[in-house]
Amino acid sequence: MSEDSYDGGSDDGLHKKRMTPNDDHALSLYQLIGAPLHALVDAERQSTQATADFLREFGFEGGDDPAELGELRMARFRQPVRGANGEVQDMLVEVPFLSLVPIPALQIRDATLDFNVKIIDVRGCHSSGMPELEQDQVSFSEQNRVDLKATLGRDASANTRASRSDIHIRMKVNVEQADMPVGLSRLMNIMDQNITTTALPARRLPEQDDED
Amino acid sequence: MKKQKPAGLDTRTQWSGDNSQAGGFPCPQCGSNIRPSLERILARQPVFCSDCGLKLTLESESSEPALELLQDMQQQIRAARKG
Repeated sequence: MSEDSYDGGSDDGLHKKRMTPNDDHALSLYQLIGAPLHALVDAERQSTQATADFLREFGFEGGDDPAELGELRMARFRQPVRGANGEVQDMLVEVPFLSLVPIPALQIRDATLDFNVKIIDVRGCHSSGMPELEQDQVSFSEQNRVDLKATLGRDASANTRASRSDIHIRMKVNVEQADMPVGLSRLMNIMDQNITTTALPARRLPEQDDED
Repeated sequence: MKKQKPAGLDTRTQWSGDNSQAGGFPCPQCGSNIRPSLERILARQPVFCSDCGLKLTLESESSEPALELLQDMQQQIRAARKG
């Protein structure tokens, strides 16, 4: 095979065609469609990882061992409680810090992909490489199976010659705050149980000090 | 002629970054949910329960590491909104 020819990666020998150098980037149509979908799934995974990093950084003290979360990070409030004898008893209320902050948990609500595809070849395809199938399934899977070889196409409707020669994938991605995952909801419930109130040493009211 | 939108990535997020999406915590006196604003906490101002009126004063000194983190987060949210 010469350097400027390409067999489309076909290894079945069913159909081979010499292509022009412009077709060097031909992929199966499912790969062209799947690549941006894969990117969206990867983006969701990164978003989830960012939420996990946020929880680790803001919610826990950390420690010497990076594998350990460490103690819950707490915010501390003072609550004055007046006793029956007129003394004010301060209570220290410790609240998990994560209860005070919005937790970013983003998800892709919807995505619109718009791109042109140039079909450059149509191939017959057999079921090699597929898992072992029952006899009736084999015959079904082999019926009229074709593999479309394609490249991203140029936008002929573009206004300028430069943009006509560019290859674009137009993506519109709407992101929204995800509902709280069950695991995170459980974590918040556990954190609520870690809210503690501790009595601090009693102090006298200012007016009682004035009387003295 | 219909104006064509430029190609590219169009993203819009509904994460407001304000405290409407914080969980809050139960009031130690009446059990109602207290959801203080980030600004109020950062200003070290007291937090009140909207139901029973309980006043909680932030212990700035012992909460300082958490407050510094909160300050950083607030700045990042502002920068992201401007960006």
